[in-house]
Amino acid sequence: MVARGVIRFGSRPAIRAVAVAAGPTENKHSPFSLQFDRLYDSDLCGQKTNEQAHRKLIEDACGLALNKAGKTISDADYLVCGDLVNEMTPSNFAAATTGLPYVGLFSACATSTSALAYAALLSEAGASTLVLAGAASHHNAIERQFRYPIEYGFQKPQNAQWTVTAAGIAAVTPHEEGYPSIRQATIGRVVDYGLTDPLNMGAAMAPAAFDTFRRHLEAAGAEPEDYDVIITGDLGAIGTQLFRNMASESGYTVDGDRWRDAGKEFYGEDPSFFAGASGAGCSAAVYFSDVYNRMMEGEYRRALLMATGALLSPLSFQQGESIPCTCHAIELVMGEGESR
Amino acid sequence: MKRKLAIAAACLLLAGCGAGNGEIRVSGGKPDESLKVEEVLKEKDDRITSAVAVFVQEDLLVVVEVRPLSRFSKAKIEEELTKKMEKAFPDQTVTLSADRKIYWETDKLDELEEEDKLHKKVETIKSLSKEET
Amino acid sequence: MDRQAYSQMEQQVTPKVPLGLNLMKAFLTGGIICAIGEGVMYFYMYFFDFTERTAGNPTVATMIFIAMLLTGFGKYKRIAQFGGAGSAVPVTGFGNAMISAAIEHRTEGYVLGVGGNMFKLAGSVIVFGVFSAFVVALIKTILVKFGVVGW
Repeated sequence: MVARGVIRFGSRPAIRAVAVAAGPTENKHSPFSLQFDRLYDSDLCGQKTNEQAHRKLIEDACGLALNKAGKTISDADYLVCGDLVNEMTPSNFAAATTGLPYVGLFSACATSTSALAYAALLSEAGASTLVLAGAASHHNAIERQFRYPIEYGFQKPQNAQWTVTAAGIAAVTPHEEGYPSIRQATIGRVVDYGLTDPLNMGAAMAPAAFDTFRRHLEAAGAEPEDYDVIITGDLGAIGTQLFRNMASESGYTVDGDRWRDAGKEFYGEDPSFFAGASGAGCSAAVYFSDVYNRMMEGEYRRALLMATGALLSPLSFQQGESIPCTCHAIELVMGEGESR
Repeated sequence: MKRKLAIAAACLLLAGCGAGNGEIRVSGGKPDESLKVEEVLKEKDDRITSAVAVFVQEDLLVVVEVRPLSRFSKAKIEEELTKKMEKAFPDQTVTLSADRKIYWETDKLDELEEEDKLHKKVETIKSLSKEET
Repeated sequence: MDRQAYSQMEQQVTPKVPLGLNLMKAFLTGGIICAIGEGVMYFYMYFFDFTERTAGNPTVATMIFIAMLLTGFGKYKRIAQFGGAGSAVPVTGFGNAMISAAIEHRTEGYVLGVGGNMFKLAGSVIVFGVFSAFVVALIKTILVKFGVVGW
């Protein structure tokens, strides 16, 4: 054990392939859309309900990831994924379709990295040759559950975030040269700073992100400069600002390009999406397209993925509870990535 | 944009001020009756901007237009005026209203020549003014 | 960093709600909706036998119908994003709350979905509308009884 909640992977499991399926809003507004593998013209993705569309996105991403890895479904051993719908039914149905042994994970929007951590553990234990891990969200399906009906006229404040319609799946295998490998994972603690506004989740999640960030760096004995990119999940414009403020107040050097946020960048900082994107699919879609591709191209050699999640339910915030948050971190390295 | 807005605002203001020419028109009655109607309406009211009164046989229809801010107490004004009118014309059946629809309809009565049609119309107006919801 | 320091920092970073601007926008939007309603009412009075007192009902029905179309075409939420309370307070806002919920729950069937959820948001408007009408009527009855005001 390196430190409490920190896992160092000696076998360095690799991410063999990644795939992202997304909806029409992402197609139109996301600067990452060119890197997504499948884009739909309709929110329903040819299905009858939004929940079915949600499930379809996950199924598509699984199939595409296997394809890109040059494998078939019979080569896969596990499916580890999650979403935000009650009881995670879209993931459950998708798991039924694939027929794979399945573990559903719920870490809200941090599911992309917690799934990667779980998959890496399976691989490290020698229990699997290929795990499909990922997360998904569907705007219409999530909004109706957490907020209001889609067509309900409701004035969103500038700190609101837009749930993305996307599913991102990664195929995790034992170590292979030439692919990004998972070196360290830090399992987040649940941090609650007593914030209660469900429309300002970035601010609620920033302390959780910082907590995990500090623990991860301490355990790795690294400085922010050692990473080519430190990318948080869906803090949005406000959460990112707060996270950076906290980091610089604690003596870390915060410099521009290295510090990214998937939620803030997801819609190209378009003001009609307010503070940015959110949702389990947000971090998954960016990590498993832009970040992965840049690692493959060699632009990033060491990346820190920190997906953040707000662990609230519509019930808990209506009862006036605060918003507990978490953040799971995954460190990816390319090539040998000699411990610097 | 600002210029257009300013012009629009000016137009609205002018239109608002131009409305309500303060006239009282009485038709179908004898001259002394007309005077009496005018007296009753004028005596008290700066709340009324204009009025039309029509005598048709035993009926007297009076419609008034009320100043915007007095519209909140329209029912009260109607009640008061009805009482006064009834006092002034004990032989007539007085129908008094501050409703715009009744005003329009009463205003149009003059155009009708035939006694029959006129009578029918008056009955319609009377029933309209009694409708509750 | 402790909670207090953090919540201070959070308040600094979170953009302030532009209250004055929002009030202006709400006033404008609400005003335009009401002006349209007034126009519809005049239409009913001019072309049909409705008086000022009776034209209210068909006008409300028409406004809700317009709100329904706008909601169905996805325009009402844009109006609401601009107008805020200006679009929520008039009867069109009530229509929007009802219809958006009905559209949303169509997939769960007509009885449990549409029927059961239609008034999910609008239900509280009805409950508190009826309740406040009761309270106001009660106060007025008492005042009339003591001769403070007339009916």
